[in-house]
Amino acid sequence: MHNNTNSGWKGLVIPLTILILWFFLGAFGRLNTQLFPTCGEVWEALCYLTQQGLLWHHVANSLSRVFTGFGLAILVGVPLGLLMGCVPQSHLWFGPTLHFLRQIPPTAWIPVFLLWFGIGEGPKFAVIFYAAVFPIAINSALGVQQIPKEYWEVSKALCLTPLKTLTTLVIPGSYHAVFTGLRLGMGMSWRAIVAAEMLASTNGLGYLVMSSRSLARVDEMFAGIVFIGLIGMLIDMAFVTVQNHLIPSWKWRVSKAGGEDLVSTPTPVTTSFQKI
Amino acid sequence: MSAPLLQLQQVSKRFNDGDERGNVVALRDISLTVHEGEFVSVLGPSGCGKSTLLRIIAGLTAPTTGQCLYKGQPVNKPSLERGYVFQDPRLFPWLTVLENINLAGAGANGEELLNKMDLAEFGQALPHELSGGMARRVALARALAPQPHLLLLDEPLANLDVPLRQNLQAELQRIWEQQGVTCILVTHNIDEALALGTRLILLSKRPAIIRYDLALDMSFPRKIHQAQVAALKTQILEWMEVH
Repeated sequence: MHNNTNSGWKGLVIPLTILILWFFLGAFGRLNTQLFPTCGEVWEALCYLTQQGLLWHHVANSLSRVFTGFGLAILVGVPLGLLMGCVPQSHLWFGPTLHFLRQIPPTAWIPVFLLWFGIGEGPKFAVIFYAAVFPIAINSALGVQQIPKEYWEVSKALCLTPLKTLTTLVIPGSYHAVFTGLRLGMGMSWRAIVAAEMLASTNGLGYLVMSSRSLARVDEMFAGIVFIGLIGMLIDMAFVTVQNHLIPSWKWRVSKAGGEDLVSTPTPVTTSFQKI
Repeated sequence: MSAPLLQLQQVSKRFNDGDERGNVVALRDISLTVHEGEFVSVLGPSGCGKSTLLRIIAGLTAPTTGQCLYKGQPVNKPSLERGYVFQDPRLFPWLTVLENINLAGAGANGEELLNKMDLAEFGQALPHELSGGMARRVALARALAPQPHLLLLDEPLANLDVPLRQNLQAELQRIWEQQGVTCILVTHNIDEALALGTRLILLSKRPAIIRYDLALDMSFPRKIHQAQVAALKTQILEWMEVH
């Protein structure tokens, strides 16, 4: 592990270089401002949108949609994932289906959802739900499967009821992975909502970007895009902070027969889709 | 003589190809009767199938052929009457010591067990804060909490330092004497088997069959250099070499 306390500046090198390059290209008039606005123009657009209260209006709309859809995805995805994880050989049972469904981009469903749920908020919730539910369910399932079989045997030997096994083994043993799933799911739904708002909406950040296109306001377009990235990043950072500070991590302590104690921390599942 | 607590009738266990162990015969025709109050030491070389035997008695594994009767009833699933102490403590890392002990829900006597095990101050500690010896004692307490009639001990003293081992050995003996719980101890350590058992069963290499079944009638506490114990140890070592 690298010591990250004083290396935060490294991550800023590339964005700052791009910003400086962008600034000077604009300052020397080397940008075709019909296609690519200058730094200053984007900044002014941001200020204008903020002053008018438009930016917050769009942000608030996008966020409330994301959190509603995301909440639904948690309600369905976590129990479903935990259940899948408890089924022996669950990857054989559920793997192909999940593989198929998660290959379909949530945006491909938009026309279908529009047909099913009308043109209100319904299809947007559905898109977010669809984007988030797979990473959440898959990681929850993997989290349960990561619990060493030795602990399952303890629960068997102690004749724990299914409910007690759930509360004392399945949930605490998997919630790191569940949280990783939530974080991935959140990222997916943020990306999906913007796409959904581009297609059928009258507000939200996706709508802001799309409507600026029809008004040929390339500066507002960029302002919207930058803001989408920033908010997505902030949400993700919030998740990481919660995961690192509020969720205790423990060490599995299982000794193999005749060997020394193997002490390991469960690895977070970040790119785990391939496994299931 | 009282009715048998446990009867194994020609129990065999074969692991089939699906298992990582391949098609292996772990136990062959094991017949064994255990009466209430006995402390049976099952001695055998590492990997001979001793643990499998214990797991069958516990109801964690089904025998391939033969059957296991507990109080006359066939064993087909675990029961709180048969406490199991695993070789490694296997404490749930997210539960405190007390919560681990009370896991089976028998409740109430968790505190009492903590006191008995000299762990009174550690009730609220998490397992990773415990030393190896303490974790074993907690695992023992967890198995004792539901007040089992039969305690199955799967090498509970393996991989411990000598002082800790002796300490825990004394603990086990005290529990057996004071609580009247019947014990089956599986081990590959002769000294341990001789120090604790009222009866010693010697298993062969895999597939395990019972080679010898002898009563140990020396008084407790036993010292390994007592003439009778030492002679028995030499004899058993010879037997183990032959087979």
